[in-house]
Order: sequence, then C-alpha cells, then structure tokens
Amino acid sequence: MIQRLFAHREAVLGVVLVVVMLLFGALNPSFFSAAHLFGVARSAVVLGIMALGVMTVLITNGIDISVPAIGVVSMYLTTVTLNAIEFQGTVLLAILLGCLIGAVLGLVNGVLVAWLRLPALIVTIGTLTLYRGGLLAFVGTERIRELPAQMASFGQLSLLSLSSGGRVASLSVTVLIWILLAIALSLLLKRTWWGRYLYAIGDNQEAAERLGVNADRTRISAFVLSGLLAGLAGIFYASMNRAADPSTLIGFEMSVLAAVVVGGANVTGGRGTVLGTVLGVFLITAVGNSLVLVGIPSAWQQVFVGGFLLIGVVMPAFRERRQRIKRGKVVGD
Amino acid sequence: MESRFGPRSHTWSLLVLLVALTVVLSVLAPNTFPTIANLQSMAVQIAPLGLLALCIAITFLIGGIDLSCVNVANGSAVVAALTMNALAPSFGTGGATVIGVLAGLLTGLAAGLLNGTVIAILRVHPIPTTLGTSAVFLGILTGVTGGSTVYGQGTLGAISTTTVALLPLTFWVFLIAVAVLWVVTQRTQFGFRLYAIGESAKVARFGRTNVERDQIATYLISGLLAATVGLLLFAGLNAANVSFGSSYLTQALLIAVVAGMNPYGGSGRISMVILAAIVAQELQTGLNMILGGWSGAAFASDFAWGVLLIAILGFSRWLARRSVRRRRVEATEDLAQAEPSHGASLNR
Repeated sequence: MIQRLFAHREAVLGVVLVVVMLLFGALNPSFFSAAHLFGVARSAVVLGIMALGVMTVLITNGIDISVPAIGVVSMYLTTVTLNAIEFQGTVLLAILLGCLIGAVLGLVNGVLVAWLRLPALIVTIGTLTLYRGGLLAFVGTERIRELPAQMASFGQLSLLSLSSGGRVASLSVTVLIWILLAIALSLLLKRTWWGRYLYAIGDNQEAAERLGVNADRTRISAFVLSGLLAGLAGIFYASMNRAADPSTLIGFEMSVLAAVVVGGANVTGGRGTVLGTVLGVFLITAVGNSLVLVGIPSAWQQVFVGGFLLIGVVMPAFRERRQRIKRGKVVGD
Repeated sequence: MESRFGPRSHTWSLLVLLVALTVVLSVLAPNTFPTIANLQSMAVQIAPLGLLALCIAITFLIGGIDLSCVNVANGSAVVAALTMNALAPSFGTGGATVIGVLAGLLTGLAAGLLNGTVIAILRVHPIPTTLGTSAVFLGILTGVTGGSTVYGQGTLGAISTTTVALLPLTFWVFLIAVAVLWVVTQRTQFGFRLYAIGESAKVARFGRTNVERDQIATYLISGLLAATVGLLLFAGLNAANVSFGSSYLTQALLIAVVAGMNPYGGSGRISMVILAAIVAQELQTGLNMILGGWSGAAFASDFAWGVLLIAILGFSRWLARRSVRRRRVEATEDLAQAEPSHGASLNR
C-alpha cells in the first residue's frame, strides 16, 4: 500500500513538502506565522501561473523557456497602453489585454515549433531574447511606478485578513485565482478531448496522428495557453508589486522549469499533472522564501532551484535504470 | 552534394554569405572596416564566442546540448581568479598563475564530467540536466563571490594583447581548437562514433559502441572548451564575474545553427563554426554601425540575434524539406519510367 502510494510523484512531493516545512519550522518558529505562510502563497502565484502553462507545453513534448519574457512584455505593454489612454476603469481590461498579448506571443512560439518543426528549446531561447530585447529597445527601459488605479489596488485585494501581534497578515486574492485556474486546467486535461490529445501527442505523436489527432494544432494550442497564462502572470506581478519593470524576472525561467519538472512533468512528453506542478511550485517558493529565515543568504537560492531541477530528473532516472538492469536490457532504450 | 557529414551546399552558401558581408561592410565603411586594427579587434571578440559555439556544436553532434557552457566559463574564471589570489603570497604570482589556470581548466572538466555522467549513465535528457547544473553553478558562484567582481593578479594580460602573425593569440586558440576538433570528428574512429551516436544512440549500442564513454568524453570536451573561454575572458579583463556574457548563450546557439550543426544530432561540420562565427561577428559589427550611439543599441542587437536565430533555423529547415521533396519526386519519376505499371500507384 505504502509502496504503491510512493509510486506517485504527488505523494512523494507532498511528504517532502511537509518534511521541509517542519524542518524550517523547527529551525525558525516564525516560519509557521500566518504572515510568512501568506507571503509564501503570495509569491508563489506568478511562478504558479506560469508553471501551469509550461507544464501544458511539456506534456506535448515541447518546452517553453520564453514565459518570463512574455510576462514582462505583457505587463509593460499593458501598463504603457492603459497609461497612455489614461484608463481608470476596471482591472478586467488590463487582465484581458495582458492575456491577449501573451496569447499572441505564445502563438508565435507555437507556429514556429509546430509548422517549421524547429526544436522548441532553441525557438524559445530565441524568442526569449527577442521579446525582451524588443521591449527594452523599442518600448522603454524605465520602471513605471504609476499603474492604472484599479490595477494597483487589485494586487493588494485580500481574501482573508488575520491580525496577530499588531501586524495584519492578508492572503492575496490572486492566490484564489491561481488555485481556481489550476482546478480548471486539471479538469481540462483530464476530462476533455483536448486534454487527452495533449498527452497523446506528447507520448507518441505518430500514433496520435494515426488516430486522427491534429498534432500541429494541438501543439500550437499548448503554446498559446502557455503564453496566455504567462501574460496573466505578468499583470498579476505588476499589480502585486505596484510597478511595471521591463528588466525584471530575469532567469525566472529556471524556477518555472524546476517547479514543473519537480512536479513530475517529463521533458520527453506525455507526463505531468496539475497537482504535482502546484506542489512543486509550493516547494520551490517555500524553500526560496525561507532561506533567509534559517540564515542562508538569498544569493544561494539558485543552487536550490538547480538542485530541485536535477533531483526532479535524476530520481526517476535512477528508478528506470534499476528497472533496466533488472530486466537485463543492456542495449534498448 | 551529400556527404555523411551533411550537405556540401551549406559550406558554399556560408562562404558566399561571408564574402558578401565583407564586401558590403567594406563598401559601407571603407575607412573603418577593412583595417588591420578593426579586423584584429573583431578577431579578439570572435574567439570566446566561437569557442562557446564549439561547446554547443560538439554536443549537438551527439544529439545533446550543453546549456551550462556560459556559467561553466564564468565558474572557471572565478575559480582561477580566487586560486591565484589565494596562492599569490606563498607561491609568487608566476606559480600562482599556473596553478590558477590549471584549477580553472579542472573546474571545466569537473563540470563536463558531472553533465556527462548524469546524461550518459542515468540517461537523463540533456536539456534539464545542463539547465540544472547551470543553475547550481550560478548559485554556488553567486554565493561564493556575493555577486561581486573578482580581480586577478594581472599576470595574464599579455595573452589578450599579443599577436602572432597579425592574428591575436586568443584567435589562435580558437583556430587550434577548431583544427583539433576537425581532425577528431572527421578523421578518427572516435569522431565516427560521435556521428553514429548522434544519428541513433540505440543503433550505435547495437554496433557495440560504448555510448556512455563517448557521451561523457563529449561533455568533457565541452567543459574544457568552456573553461578556456572563461580563462580567455579573465585574461583580457583581469576580472571575473558570475554575470559576464549573459547574452552569449543565444549567440553561441546561433553560430552553431548557422554552421549547419543539426540540433537533433548526427550531421554537421565542426569546421564550419569558424565561418559562422566570423559571419556572426560581421553582422554584429554591421548592427553597431547602423545603430551607432543609440541608447537602446544593446537591446536592439539582442532582438536582432533572436530574430536571426529563428530566421536562419527556419530557412535551413525549409531548404532541407524542399530538397527532400525534390529527391522524392525524382525517385518516383525514375521508378515510373523503369516500371510504368507501378508508376501510377507511386505517384499518388
């Protein structure tokens, strides 16, 4: 029973997450304060929303490195546009615009990968530099502190406020939106044809095509979703920080990828669950945000991100290697 | 013309591109471009980029990729600098420099060994592996140096200023690296095996190739090349920092792709990296001339690199597909002429 439970990545991750949290809590009791936990949840949102999109792409045997650039472009362009027309209305327009910009940029990635059959990694490394360079060269390099009023206040909306010891800890409303998005994506992946097609082309494109799946269209849709979610995450990032900075989120792709891979998605496609990704995001954020609490300088954070990424790929590889040796298969892959 | 290393036409189009760019730039800037000083400064800039492109190219050959090369380069530079500074009081600057350089090269080899072992023995996909090790190296370096620049003893400055037969010494290092890799990949059994592994690791295993050993050797070469880049950059600047050359990865990928290396492995000529690196540097020079003193010039050239990378990949893909289609049509026609009765069904 226990062995079967541990065959699931999600169960292992859940246990690791609890152990890590208890460890941090033992080293510094303020880890379990509402303020810190809500802070972790809040800073997990941007990573979490981007990770949902990247996981979808990974399922199709692709990879999307360009999400932070898409997020930054969407947040900066939206802010610049709305400020230019002195828009003071609902935040929904900002969100819509951000998603639209993200989806268009994702579409570019998808078309290049699906129609030109270029390797997704090289395409998205190219578009990463292209999007960011284009934004900084042609739109602006200045950090904008004056967001449209609704956009700035949206990021501070709180779902639940607890006051303890004179300090008010509030759970951001964006956390709820992220969790709702995760549930929606999970249902889409499990209960719709589109979701099953994603796994099918990721596992074996040829077989999926013979069953009548339009692999190109499905692959493009995954990249569009990834771009759209990255665009949304960009808007959230701007509203939570009350500023739009075009040179932020550099190197963030590493954390996104680490979270997704730790969550059980496989770069060779066909694998990945929403629950695993969400747990991976929580693990990465909880560790990254709490290093300072236990006295490790935040400069070392990258080591943990890379370490998680490596552990995420090496662990299943170890198991497969053991099985390969047990079966006596020396040659086959 | 097809050889087992890839289409020959690619070499010719690169040569034409190189000559055309040289002519265009010389006509546009007759006083500044075709001067020895300018060409020498271009050669100094080509060397590190070209060597990084070799890291990508040699790993492309076996169907892998080394995304950690830039961070390995910086890591070797930082290790070399720290070693030199630590040993200079007791060994004197000369001895400390030698040990520091060796330590830098060893760092590169160690990184290559780590990448190679995880990829070959555990059969983990090279993309997450090298991204992961890259992040780990970056984190360790940031932690050790606190993100600040490490200055050296100034003993290696001569390497970046010396010229041998009109070419800077650093460019000679690049030329020698290409020459050695050219001989290794095209004239030795090891090179033959690399192409075989890139084509299909599975088939290579059936051919009793020790795939794991050759894969590890390839990542060792890549690590050594990256360390060389780090040491060359360190020699030129007498300083090492974890964030040097952050846009190098895109450019190195671009050069490897322009050189005709197949990212899926098994074809491409290492020697073409030289032409591709010169073409890339000429494009950069041209961009600098056009953009001039504009404040966004650095970002605009990032943008241009991204566009170029995708455009060139797309173009070569389109060319390859077209030639496959043409060959298929020709083969069908030949068959149709030889056996008219079968022609109809083959022509559908």
